[in-house]
Amino acid sequence: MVTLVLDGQHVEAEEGWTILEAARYYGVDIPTLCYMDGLSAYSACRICVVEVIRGDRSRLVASCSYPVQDGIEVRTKSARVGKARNMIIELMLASCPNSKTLQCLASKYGVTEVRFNGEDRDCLLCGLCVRMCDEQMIGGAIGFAKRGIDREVTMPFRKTPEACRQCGACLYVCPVCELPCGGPLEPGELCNACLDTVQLDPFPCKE
Amino acid sequence: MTIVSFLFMGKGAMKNSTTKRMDEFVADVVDRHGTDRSKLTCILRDVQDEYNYLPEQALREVAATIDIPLVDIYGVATFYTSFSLEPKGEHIVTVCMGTACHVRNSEGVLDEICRFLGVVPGGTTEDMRFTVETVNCLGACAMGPIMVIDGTYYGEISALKVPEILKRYQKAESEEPEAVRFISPQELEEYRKSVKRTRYSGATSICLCCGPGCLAVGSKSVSEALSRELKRNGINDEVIVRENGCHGFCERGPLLVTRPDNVFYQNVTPGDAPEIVRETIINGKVIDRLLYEDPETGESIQREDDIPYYRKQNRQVLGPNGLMDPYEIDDYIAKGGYSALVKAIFDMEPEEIIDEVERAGLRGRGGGGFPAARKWKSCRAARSPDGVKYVLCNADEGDPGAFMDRCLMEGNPHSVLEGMVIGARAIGANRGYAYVRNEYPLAVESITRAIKDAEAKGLIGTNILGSGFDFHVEVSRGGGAFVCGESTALMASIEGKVGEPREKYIHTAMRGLYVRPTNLNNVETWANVPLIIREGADEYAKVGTENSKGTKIFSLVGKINNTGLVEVSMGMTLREIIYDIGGDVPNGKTFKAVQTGGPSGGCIPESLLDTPVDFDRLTDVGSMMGSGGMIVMDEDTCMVDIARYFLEFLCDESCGKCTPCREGLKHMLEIIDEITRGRGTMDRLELLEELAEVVCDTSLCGLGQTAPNPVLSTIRYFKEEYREHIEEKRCPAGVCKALISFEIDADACNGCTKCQKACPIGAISGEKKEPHEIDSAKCDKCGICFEVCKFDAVVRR
Repeated sequence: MVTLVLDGQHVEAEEGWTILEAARYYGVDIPTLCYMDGLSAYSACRICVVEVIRGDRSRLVASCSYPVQDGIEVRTKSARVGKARNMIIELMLASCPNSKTLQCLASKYGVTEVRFNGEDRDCLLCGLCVRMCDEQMIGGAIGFAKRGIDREVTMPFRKTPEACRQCGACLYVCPVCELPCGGPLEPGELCNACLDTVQLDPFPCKE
Repeated sequence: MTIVSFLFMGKGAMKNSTTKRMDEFVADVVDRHGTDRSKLTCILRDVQDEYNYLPEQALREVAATIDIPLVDIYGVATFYTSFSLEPKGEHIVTVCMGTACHVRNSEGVLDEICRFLGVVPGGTTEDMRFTVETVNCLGACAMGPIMVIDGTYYGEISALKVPEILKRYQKAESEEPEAVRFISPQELEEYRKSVKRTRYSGATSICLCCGPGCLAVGSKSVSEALSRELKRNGINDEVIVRENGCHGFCERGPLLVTRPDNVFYQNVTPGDAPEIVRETIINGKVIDRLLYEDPETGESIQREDDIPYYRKQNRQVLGPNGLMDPYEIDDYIAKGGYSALVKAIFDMEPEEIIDEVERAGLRGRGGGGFPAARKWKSCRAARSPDGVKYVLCNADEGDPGAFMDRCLMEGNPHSVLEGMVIGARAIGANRGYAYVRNEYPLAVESITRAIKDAEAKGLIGTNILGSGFDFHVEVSRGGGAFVCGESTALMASIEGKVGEPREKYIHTAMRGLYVRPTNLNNVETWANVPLIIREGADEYAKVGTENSKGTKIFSLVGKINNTGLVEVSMGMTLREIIYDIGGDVPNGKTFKAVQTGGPSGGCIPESLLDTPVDFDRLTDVGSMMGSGGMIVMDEDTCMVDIARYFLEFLCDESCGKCTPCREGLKHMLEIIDEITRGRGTMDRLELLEELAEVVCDTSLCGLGQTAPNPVLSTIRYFKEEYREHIEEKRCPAGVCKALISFEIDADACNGCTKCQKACPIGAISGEKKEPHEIDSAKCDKCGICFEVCKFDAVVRR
């Protein structure tokens, strides 16, 4: 067992757990997006960052993959975490304003405006579909191509490969291709009205 | 796909007119490399060499043959810039966009090439003759701006020279370009054979620098001329020409030094060869006109060590470059090479080696400055499931403007190898890789050869010198991705995967390459190791500051008189490097800033030039040591433009995995772009800083965590310049095109028509001998008129 401080509480955690697993065990809420039980941690969306203090050093880490260690102090709600998390939500909203999942996260954490030039893309590059296809469906039909801002999820040569069984698992886990928010404002606008639907579930708006 | 469909690929799409079917070709290539996943990039490179691009069918064949999902191969093929899924032109025109070239206006050169050929960067002309590409740094920074056509380097070019060069390639095939060629492996092989036959140790030798800078200005043909001349005089058995790696003083290349007299000649041409052989070699006389002249005293200097540029340096790592042929293992052995290896294997316990390195205070030269011994210790302590551990050499020198690793790999590969074997012995590792950047074919050539020679002599491989210790090294080539210099991305790339970093919460010393304990150090770090073991830690630690020991090699480039590689003791101030060694900013301009640490570093202003070269002190001032690029900027460099340049570079090179790096950098670039176009606001500048901090704080790997440094450091030291761009809509350095305009001063213009003829878009009108005029609506602000006017009549506002 490992002993650590989690938001001011001394807690024990199993060796090998990630901070996220420990936090969920003790009912501490950390938002996630590219993380899903049953799939390998990918640490890409960075929305699950928490502050880890060890001695006099403090830094932000992705809780979905950072293993618990003896003597560390974890803060999930510090000002530094809040600022970083909200900026990341804002960045993601700038690229996929119509994602219901993102709209909910914005409501919950108080992101009320997007200050960056917006786009309307249909992919957050969270990689859930790629890992779902590869790790759970043993498909290996879709993957990432290119890099940087050109990065995309695609099939080889944009043609459906033989490996694809059309099982639909990729669609099921996608946080963007769900129905957009049906709120009072135009699609894509930030209405901050989804608060009541937010739960701990990584996909709060899915029925 | 068979030969029939090749016919539609356009002229030059296929290099060899082979009639082999694609499936047979792929099967052959796979046979050659094996079916291991780590060979995927080698296989793809061979396919690309054959067809000039990666045909879809070939990738399907590869997937079927080596049983990797097609989507993974597609991912790899689209991730690395050295692969293309589109057919390319017959001639590949590559423009270096490295920092040193950038501050010397490589963008203007690129614009002119694209305009001349009628393509966009990355595009291919309709007739499939030319493809225009950009590269983020070729490591020939001293000669920038650099353009390469099919492997031929053209140094110090300007937009003006572009049409003339390109026209040569547009003409008939048979016409050979006049510029000097980078040697091919075959040529090298031939040359080496002849040198070997005539090598005569102990006698006079002529050491000629064949580093990247000197090659670009023709050192290869000087070498050939010298050899011819020696033969003609019948003394080719007594006197040998040694082609060295980089000597460092690139500005004066081609460089020649006679040994053992150390007479130094600069700017040598093939035409000088007869005189050098006749006068200096045979009659022992010094040729005055080839000597270096001290710019201050005006006196000629004969000996290499007396030149101010070298005098202030401490060339303990780089120095041997000028004494030996990197392709001759005997040269290295003659200079005491591999004696540290003997000592480490036979006289020292692994713990003693680590202890020695720890007492020497060796810190990683790749950028971070992490204590090497601490890394080695944890890797030694780490358990491996099957006992396999790896030792890697990071030669993916991606920082634009830095080329010291290239010069060490090319000029003294055995010192790097020797360091790796010693490290492997200390850690208990038996396998290693040298991961070399794709843009450095000569470094690949040199290290591959060194491994082969050392293996033949029993210095690496199985049972080294009969000690029972094994260490096998392989070379792994990069694919043109800056992020692969990051340790976890580098390891993924060696494994044949996309070079994507992963979280390092469990250190690579525990779980690295193939999930085994792995130790990675950079080229320069490895080259320091034999020195420590040979001289002893105490001797080594005499040089340097309290927490930074030894020397550091910098590539001093940009707006500086003496460009080249300099190796100085840690603790020397930036001012000494720039003024005493670099010889000040050229053309009477004023120094503005020096950029260190590449895209992860920052710009240091005049007021902080007394900062010593030291890992911690450079970090304190908001920059970093980095791998050693030192780019000097003068009053004509716009700091906002420099920040924009680095952001553009990083957006291009980000792997795109994590949100803050991919999206954050994109929006940072948007904001800074607005500023350079005169559309910025102070509010947006604040948002830029806020975003920059979050990108630093939350990015997954070192690339993203340090990416905002160039922006933050320029805002910190040059905020006034940002304010002028934003509030006064003015670019004081005259760089940001949207904020400047060109006019002709009617009083100064005598109507020579030179500008009118030079203007590529015909925006200048006027009668001969009458003042000319620029049509501001037409003008695209390329600045060529400004450059050609001899009467200062073209005014930039």
